[in-house]
This record gives sequence, structure tokens and C-alpha cells, in this order.
Amino acid sequence: MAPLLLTACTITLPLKPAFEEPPLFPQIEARVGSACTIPIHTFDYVETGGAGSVIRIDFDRVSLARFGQVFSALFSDVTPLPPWPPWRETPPDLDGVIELDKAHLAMVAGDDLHNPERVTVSYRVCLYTPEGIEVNCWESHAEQFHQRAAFESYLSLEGYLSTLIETASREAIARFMLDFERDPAVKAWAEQVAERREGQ
Amino acid sequence: MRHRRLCLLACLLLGLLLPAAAAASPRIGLLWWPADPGNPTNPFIGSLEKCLARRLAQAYPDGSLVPGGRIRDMLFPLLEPATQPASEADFAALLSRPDVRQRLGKRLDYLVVFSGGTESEPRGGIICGAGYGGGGCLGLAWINKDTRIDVVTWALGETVSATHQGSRVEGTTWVPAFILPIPIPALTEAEACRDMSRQIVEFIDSHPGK
Repeated sequence: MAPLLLTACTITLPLKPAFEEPPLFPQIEARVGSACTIPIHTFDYVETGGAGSVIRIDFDRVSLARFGQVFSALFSDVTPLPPWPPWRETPPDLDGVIELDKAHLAMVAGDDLHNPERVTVSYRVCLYTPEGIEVNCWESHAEQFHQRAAFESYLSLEGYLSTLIETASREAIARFMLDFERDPAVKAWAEQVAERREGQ
Repeated sequence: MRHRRLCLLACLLLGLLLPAAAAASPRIGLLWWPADPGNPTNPFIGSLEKCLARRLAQAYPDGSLVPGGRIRDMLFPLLEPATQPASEADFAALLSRPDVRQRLGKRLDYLVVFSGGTESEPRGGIICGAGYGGGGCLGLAWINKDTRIDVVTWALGETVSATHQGSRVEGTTWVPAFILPIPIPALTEAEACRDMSRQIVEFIDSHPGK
């Protein structure tokens, strides 16, 4: 009976898995491997102020899908690297490797009075040379909050939670993309790649 | 000579009819800008977008409307609250980027960029009480409401042109209470939306699409 009740109160939050179109970015001509070191698990949020539901959020998987699209927009040729053997052991025949090594979601429950629901999203992405030398790493984060109105958690909890998480996630990814675009280390690396290609 | 006259007449008729046909089925995007980074769930903006969409759909039954979320997706990462253009000049610069024009041009003829809100000022008072024999309220309260909507409509043709429009509606919601409080609402948001959509339609009709 208990598992049945638990199932009845667990809601999976609907999050859009990916962007409808590839992100806009002045693409770099480079062959890059994409790697992911984050463990994929779901995030359970226990809603305390209203119905007491457990809200399951597939945050890691959604983040991974979004970063897959972002990496494809950054470089002209992106190859997903297998998790094993680790690419650092046998340097791939590529111009570089980009790695998502952190995807973090934190949520603080709110109430109907003066404490808003808080959502914080952070990501860390690193670009390496094929030999494993770090070109640079970027940590981006975004926070969103929402003060619920009376009884709002009974009526539209899933709606506003998914808006908060989507907005924070998109904003953190957007910040990463702008930081990446402006980074002089990336420009220097892209120039080296272009020179090497011309020399071949 | 007669053929030439006929051709001239046909050309004139086509010239008159084609722009009208283009304006009759415009593809319009609605975008909240500048979006408030601290309030992504702004209820006023949500209902204003729905209201504008409904009214524009009534004005152009054969047209198509693209919601703001879709436009943000089309132009990701350039329209997120943290990365959006800070000024109208920056917004114009964004729209003149070739990659942005190409993306928007596939789906849109016009981009309606809107912002606004309602300021409310409650006044008066109502006293309510209850006892063994029953209960009731007595008093008069009123809320002064001031709704403003600002819109910039961009015609995304060969050359991008824009117009600034605005609507401001003031009203008072009255709540007289004699035993029961009976609110008489001032529908300032609905009225401002109606006025705004009328102005947008006027602009679109006077700037027929590509």
C-alpha cells in the first residue's frame, strides 16, 4: 500500500528536453569530442507548503541533451566520446575535447506567505586539448525565485516550478555561451587549430 | 495600344491587391521585452500575451502567431533575461544580424515587442463582523488602477522598420459593502489590450509584408 501511495504522490515535472532550433553561435571550425563526467540521476523535490507531493525532475538528462545541442552549435564537427576508456588515456585524433563536468540543481521550498521558492542552477564546462591540457573552464549559474500566491501550490505548482527551472537552466547555459564566445583563450586555441589545419 | 492599356490596368490591380493579400495573412511574433529577470512568471505579461494573441488572431484569421517562448528558442541564447539587448538600439542591432534575420525571416513578417504593467492603489475600507445572529460587512473600498502597455512593432522586410505605440487606461474598481461586499471591477487590462491590438493592426495594415 505504501509504495502505491508514494507513486500516487510523485509527479514527474515536464521539462522541454532540448531547444527547438540549434543555438545561434559563430561556429568555430574544429573537430571536437564531447564528453560528460556527470552521473545521471533524477532530482526529487519534496513540496512542503501545499499538497506535500514529491516532484521528480530529470534535470541531468535534460541538461545533457541541451549541452549536446550547444556543443554542436559551438564547433563545426562534434563527436560524442564514449565514457570508457577515458579519453585522457588515449588522446583522440581531434582538435580538442569539451566536457560538461558539473550540472547542479538546488531548490529551496517556499510557502504562501513571505518565503519564495528558490531554484539555483550551475554548470561547469571545460575545453581541453586532445592531450588533456586545459584551454579554459567556465562556471555559470543562474537563480530564479517565485513567491507563490495563496493556494497556488495546489493549482499550478508544476507549472511555475518548471518555468523557474527552465528559465534558470537556459540562463546559465546562455551565460556560458557568451563567456565562451568572448574568451581570449578560446580565440587563441581556435587560431592554433586553424593554423594547424592550414599547415596540413 | 489596347493590350498595353489592359496590362497597365492588370498591373495596377495587382499592385493594389498584393499588399492587401500579404497583410491579410501576416506572420506575427509576440515577445515580452525587456523581460524581467527576477519575475519569469509575471502573470500580467502572461495574460497580456494571451489577450494580444487572441485579438490579433481575430483580426487576421488566416495569419499565424508565434509566442514569445518560441521566439526565445529560435534566437537562443540572445534573448534570455541575462543576455537580452539592453536598449532599443541594441535590439535593432540584434535584428540586423544576418543569422537573426534569417531565423526570424523564415517564420515572421512582424515582431511585436511589448512590456507593461498595472499599478494599483487601494483606498477606503470595509469592516466585517459576525455574531450568533449572523454577520455582515459595511463600508466602501476602491482600487485605483493604472494600466500601461508599450509596444514596438518591427516590420521584418528587406529593411527593418519599427513603430512605437502605447496605451494607458486608468480606472477604479469599486467594492461597496452592505452586508456582503460586491466588487465592481475596472477592466483596465482588457481595455488597454483592446486599444493596443487595434493600434498594432493599424500599423500592420499600413506596412504590408514582404
